[in-house]
Amino acid sequence: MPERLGRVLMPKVSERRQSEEMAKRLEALPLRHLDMAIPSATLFIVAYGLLMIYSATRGQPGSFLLKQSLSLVLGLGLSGALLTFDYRRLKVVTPFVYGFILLSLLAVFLWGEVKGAGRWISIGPINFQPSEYAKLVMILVLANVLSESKENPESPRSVLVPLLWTLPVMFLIFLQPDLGTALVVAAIMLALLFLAGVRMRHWLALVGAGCLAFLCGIFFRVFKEYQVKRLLVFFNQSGDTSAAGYQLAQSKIAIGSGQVLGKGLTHGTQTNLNFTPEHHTDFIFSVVGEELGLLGALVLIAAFCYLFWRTYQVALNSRDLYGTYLAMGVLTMLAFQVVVNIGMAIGIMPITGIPLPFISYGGSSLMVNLMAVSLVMNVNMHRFSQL
Amino acid sequence: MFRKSSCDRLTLVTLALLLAFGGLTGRLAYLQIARADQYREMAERQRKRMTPLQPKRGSIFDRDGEILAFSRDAYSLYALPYQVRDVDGTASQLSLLLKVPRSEIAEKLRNQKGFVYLRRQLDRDTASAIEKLQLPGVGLEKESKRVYPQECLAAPLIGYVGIDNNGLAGIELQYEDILRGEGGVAEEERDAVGNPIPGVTRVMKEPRDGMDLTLTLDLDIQNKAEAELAAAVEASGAKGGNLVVMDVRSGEILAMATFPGFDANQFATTDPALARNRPVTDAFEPGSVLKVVTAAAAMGEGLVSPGSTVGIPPQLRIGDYTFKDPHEMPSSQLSFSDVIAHSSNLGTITVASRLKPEAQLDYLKRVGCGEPTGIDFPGEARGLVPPPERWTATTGATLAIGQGISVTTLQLTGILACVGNRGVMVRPHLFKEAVDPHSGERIVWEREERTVLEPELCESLIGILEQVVHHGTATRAATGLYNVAGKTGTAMKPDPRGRGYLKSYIGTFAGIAPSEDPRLAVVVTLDEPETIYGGICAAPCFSAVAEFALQQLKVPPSQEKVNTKDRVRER
Repeated sequence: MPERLGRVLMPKVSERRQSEEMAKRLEALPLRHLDMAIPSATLFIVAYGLLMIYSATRGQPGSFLLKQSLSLVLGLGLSGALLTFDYRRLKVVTPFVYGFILLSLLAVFLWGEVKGAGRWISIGPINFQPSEYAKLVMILVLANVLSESKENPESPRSVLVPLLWTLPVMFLIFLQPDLGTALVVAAIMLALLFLAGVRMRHWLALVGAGCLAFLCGIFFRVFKEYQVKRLLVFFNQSGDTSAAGYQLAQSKIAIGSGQVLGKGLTHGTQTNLNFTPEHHTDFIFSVVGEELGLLGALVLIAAFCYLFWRTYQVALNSRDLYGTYLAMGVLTMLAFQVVVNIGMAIGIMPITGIPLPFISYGGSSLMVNLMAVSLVMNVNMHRFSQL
Repeated sequence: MFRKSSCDRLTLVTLALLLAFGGLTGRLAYLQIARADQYREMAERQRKRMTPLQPKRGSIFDRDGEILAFSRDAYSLYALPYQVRDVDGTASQLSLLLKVPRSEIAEKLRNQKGFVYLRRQLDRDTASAIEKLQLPGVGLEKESKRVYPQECLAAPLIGYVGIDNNGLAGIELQYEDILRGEGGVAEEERDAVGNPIPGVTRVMKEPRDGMDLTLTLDLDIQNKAEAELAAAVEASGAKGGNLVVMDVRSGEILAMATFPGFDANQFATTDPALARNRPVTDAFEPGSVLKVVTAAAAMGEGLVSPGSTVGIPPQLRIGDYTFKDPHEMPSSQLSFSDVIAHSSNLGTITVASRLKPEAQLDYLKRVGCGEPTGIDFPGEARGLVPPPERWTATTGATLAIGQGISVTTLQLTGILACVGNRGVMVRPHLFKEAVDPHSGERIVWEREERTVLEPELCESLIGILEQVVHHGTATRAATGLYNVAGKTGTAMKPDPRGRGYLKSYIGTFAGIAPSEDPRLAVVVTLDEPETIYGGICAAPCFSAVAEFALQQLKVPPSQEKVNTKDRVRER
């Protein structure tokens, strides 16, 4: 089913294309077609994030704000570079990028940081975290595979092929161990398969198999003990006294005590007195809730929703299915992380170690998210262009 | 063609997202509105702690403002072992400064989990040296340390405080309420690992410092008393001794010494028996000294006058006990005055045998035997007077010569002071005044007195007691400048295991001076002197202390010398 979504969703565009000349005019200077709401919302969220990192790490050794700002500059540069060509040209390089990311993930095992969860490869001063990039690469791969697929979506092969592309990456990420990112990749795959119109029976079977594999993992102790504990905390929030239980309890105290208006930026007692652990990384939302209150939290959530809404529009108005899948992949990646991260901080999602996009401290994550948004912008810009 | 279901699926995804964000918002509202107050309280509770603020304990001064006890800033060194990163390094750095073995500190840092004191009451220099090291997990807490600059002087009297600056003995215990002050409370913020956050401490209640206490003691007299007592103990080969100097008019204790003593700064290593202030806490059988009371009773009841002639029998058999005089009397016919002066047991018993038991008991009770003097000191002994139902045939006779009864050195002093003050018994005390260092509020001692003897009777008694020094048993009590009056005592110590007496004695001299207008009562008791007689071992000590004290008080020397050193007639 090569040419599907575009025609159904964009009848007006096809009407306009009656005039070749008009089409030519539309194709020139694609940047004018860019929906400025997307970069605006993104930059707003990024600025919000820098503010929170400033507040969360103030008075701590280590120049978190500076490092994050450098990542931001680098990320903006890379994103800008991604806008210089039509997104469809990415199809050509996708297999190479996929190969590269598989090798990088393997390299983590061989040369990665040893202590704790080894997720980084250090090249000089730069810490490169392949699992973050793997999410973006999987979006490219799956969008390519699904949009180029000649399979009948009713056949089980339409599920198996994308699955076979995804599993090696997911598995390597899971082994790092980085359960959170592996779940993000799984979410992206499931969402895109769902949208591609695979049979519901197949899709549900896949979800069921995933859950079964998960339970087997717990049963056969494939997971690290802390991973299981963190998941179980979710089911026993009041009685748990483990480190994860403490984390969750302190996060809830921080957010709850922030009340409607918050305690004021840099005035969070839970944050400043280190009651809330990991408050500049995975639990940064507790700083938002504590210092800026319900109001600040809702502003942030609204900004995310706005970004997602515009991204959704990009998916709808894409010239081709490839663009639609790209935009929906990015949307899934970001939205899944936002929901799981915030949900974890307020005790309605298990603790899985997923950062809050654009807000949590972490260079690779910020750069990847910026590039992902840039990809959406590219799809948006080139909705009138022909390759 | 793109199937319709795909379109529906996009809507489904959107709906799922909306639902998810709706859930987040709802949950946030629940946490930050519905349960906000609860969480705010939890946040406050876990970071705010109430910490006590220590008041400064009041100082103790003698009557002239000489300092006896004060509190100095000190620090306690503690560790939070779970925060200590380098146990061995920390231990070796601290062991240098604390001068204790490294292993001892390392063990504390390893074994204890939450909080452990490494040293209490550290001086300021060491504390600041430790602070400079900036050791993680090691902290200093300000407190105060009690210092007794006079060391051994009056130590059993002043007492001491415990590690938390609470009075444990002596004046420190007696006036705990006045000295301690009132603790304050501060609200402190602590971080997740319990470190206090500087600069955010909020004082909820200011501590009120303790009041400064001025005692009636005169440090110069105290010094002299302790020195003379120590000299007398050594000269007589005694085990120990007690000495009290009291102002007969005001009841003020000017000196109270007990030997051996101890250094209050080292009380932790002191034998508790040495820490007792024995003039107040220990009662003993006084012996002949108590003939003063017998004489008062006999003359008060009109049985004799000082000049009455008393026949001295060679011996007296009462019940199944035979009384004798310990030394030969100059004559078999003595004036009552000389009976006392020569301390004749037989003469005294002869006179006392005419006393009704009730009268004898009444006078003992009037002068305070068997009752605490009411001195402001913890643990006062009341002594023992046999109650009427326990009397036997010999009780009247033994009581007359001070046996079968026990008194404290302070009670004896009170009896003499009462006689010297013309029958007015003043409650003895150590408290002179207390002053609040901030508000200036002042508490003074309220004098308590009662008249227990006729003034004329006291005059007669003093006259008799002058004879004791003039030509009686206590010629060595005479001073160079002042006439003095007093009575000796040489009492066998009762066997603590039961009936009967030991072969050891308590030698006593209890006197007043100057005898024409008494200012001071001074009592010296020596425990188990080798020279057993009170008139020999204790009287010289009395003489030295009484003369020094009177000069110290600027009492003019006696005009008409009656029994000064150049007037006494030694046998």
